[in-house]
Amino acid sequence: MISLDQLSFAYGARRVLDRLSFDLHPGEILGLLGPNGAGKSTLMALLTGLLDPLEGRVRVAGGDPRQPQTRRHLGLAPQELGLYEELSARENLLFFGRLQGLWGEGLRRRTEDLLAETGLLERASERVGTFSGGMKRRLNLAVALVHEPDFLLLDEATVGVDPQSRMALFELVERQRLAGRGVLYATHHMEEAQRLCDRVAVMDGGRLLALDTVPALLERHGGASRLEVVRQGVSQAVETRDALGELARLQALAPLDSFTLRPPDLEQVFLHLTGHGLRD
Amino acid sequence: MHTLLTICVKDLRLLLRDRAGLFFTFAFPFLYALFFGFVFSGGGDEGPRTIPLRLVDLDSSAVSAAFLDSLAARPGLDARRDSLRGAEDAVRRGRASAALLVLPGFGAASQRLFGGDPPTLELVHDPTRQAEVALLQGVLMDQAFRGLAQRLERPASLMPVVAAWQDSLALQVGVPPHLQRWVGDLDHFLAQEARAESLRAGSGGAAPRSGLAAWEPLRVKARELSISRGGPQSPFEISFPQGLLWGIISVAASFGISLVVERREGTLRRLRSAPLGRTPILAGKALACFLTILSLVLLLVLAGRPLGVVAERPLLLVAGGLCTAFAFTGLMLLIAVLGRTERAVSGLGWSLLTVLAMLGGGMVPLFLMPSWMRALGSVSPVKWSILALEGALWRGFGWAELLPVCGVLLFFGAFCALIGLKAFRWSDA
Repeated sequence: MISLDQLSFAYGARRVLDRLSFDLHPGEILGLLGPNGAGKSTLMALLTGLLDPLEGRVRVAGGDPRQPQTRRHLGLAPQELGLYEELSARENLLFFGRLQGLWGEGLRRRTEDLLAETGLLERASERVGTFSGGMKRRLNLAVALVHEPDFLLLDEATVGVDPQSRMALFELVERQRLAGRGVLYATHHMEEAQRLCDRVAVMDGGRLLALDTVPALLERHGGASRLEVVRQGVSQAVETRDALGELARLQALAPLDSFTLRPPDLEQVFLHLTGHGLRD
Repeated sequence: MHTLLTICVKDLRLLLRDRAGLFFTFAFPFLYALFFGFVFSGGGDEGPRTIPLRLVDLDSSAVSAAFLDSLAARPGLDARRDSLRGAEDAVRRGRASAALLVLPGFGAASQRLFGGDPPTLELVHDPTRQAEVALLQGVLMDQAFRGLAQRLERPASLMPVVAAWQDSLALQVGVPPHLQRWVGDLDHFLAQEARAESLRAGSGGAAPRSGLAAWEPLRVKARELSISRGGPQSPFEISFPQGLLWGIISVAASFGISLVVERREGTLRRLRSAPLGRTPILAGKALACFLTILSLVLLLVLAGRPLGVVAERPLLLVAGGLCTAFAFTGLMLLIAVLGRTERAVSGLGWSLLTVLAMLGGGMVPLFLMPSWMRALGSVSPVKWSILALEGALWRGFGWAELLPVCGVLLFFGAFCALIGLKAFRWSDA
């Protein structure tokens, strides 16, 4: 388990994380949802022992991540990719695998498996610099997985990828949950958090505003669904918590030409919690 | 026009916010100008430029002693008396540009003045300091003329000389009668104000085969130290260490910059997330730099073999190469912490290396620099590395001479590495 207890951090006088507390369990995908500057990357740096907490503490599998051996439980896919572009995909995997203490046939087999799993086998010997954004992101994830860590830290894992590659990445991440890995998924795309995550931690300004399952967050902070109906060429919109009942009521009044139902989403949750949108 | 101005203002604003860019735009040209200004105008230095010279009196006559005393008193020379062995050692170790040997017979030859072999000096010089040797030859000729002028000012002191000359001419064939008459009347002639004019006529316009045809007040034979010590077997033994140092400088800069690139591209962050301490990450980079420098040394030594670059004592070359590689690896770690961005580290790193190369004599002959700048050059690993490599290649260094040089290089490398390791910004990863 990854455990955060009253974790705070500041760059000089500017506090960027303020008393964060939550746990990440094995087999769970926990989304960190927040705009740029919310403190997600700083949290990742604290989780990997790169920074020292100002207050509070972090525990990874019971250990301090500032201790090298504790970091063996972690697989990091940083936002900046963190790949050697002059090396091939296979060479990158072998290199980072060796740093994790893997050697010989086991490492070679693991490398080939990951290349196959991420769809990079055909171009495994080519320089990473020649890869598309989506391929680099897949390799980024593969490198994080090379030593089969207990927890996966994904920082904006889908930046700069096309929709097809994004779907492939989602499938890869979901497979990690099935494999029993805990995944911390930092993103500012609410669609991704909603699609992938078992629980979502909503962050803004370094503070944890809410943490729950997506349905619970929607229920508590999402507000009403938006129902738009068109009748005899005239459109009408209503906010309702009982969309089906409202639809039946409107249909009973007069036949509808069409209708659109927009259920509450995490964007609305974020708006409700912070007073501003995710992309403000 | 509006767009043009908008773009222009944006770029100026970017420049103002880039401290490294500002440094290179405004401060570095100033420092560059300051450096060459000091070098060529002598600003900031109370004392004159001096060429380090060792004086060896093998004649041991009053004349040779007086000549060396007057030479030692000349401005522009840092001349010291020494034994033959001590003087040659000083040249070999790079402590003096040349050793001036006053050969036996110098005093007697000086008495002959216009006849027979001229007084002869030998200049044993460092092959890498040709410019200084050319200057020294000029200084020696000037000194000889000054001595002659002083003697001509005292006619009484010339009487034995003139007598000897008359005797000499009497033995020669084909001396024009008017010259014989002129020499015969020289006592009277010397009393006239036209002494200098007559000397020029005597030295430049004499008839062929006469004793005056090849008259010279002094003969200076320049000899590279190598001739007697089996030093550089080819000019490449001189140029290779210097060229090698530029290659090593380039390696140190590239590796220093690559650490910043790793930070920018996120690979440093990923390395830090691996179960490794901080030291192995930097040590791995340092080792790669160290091995690259060693490979460069090996490659150039091997490539130089067909060109005559052969180490007199290979073990010393290995030691010199190892210490040089260590010094510049330490410097690489220091370069990596000079700035936060690739551009800043690249710029500041190259400036530092260029200044060290300048101070180490890699760009401007050391004797041209003011004394304080020469003293500052002792902190440059460029100077010590070249000395270590040359020492092993052709200066004939033994372990006793190489070890202090290696000590300086090791200290420099360790000092820079400590600063680099201490100041490395892990949090930026």
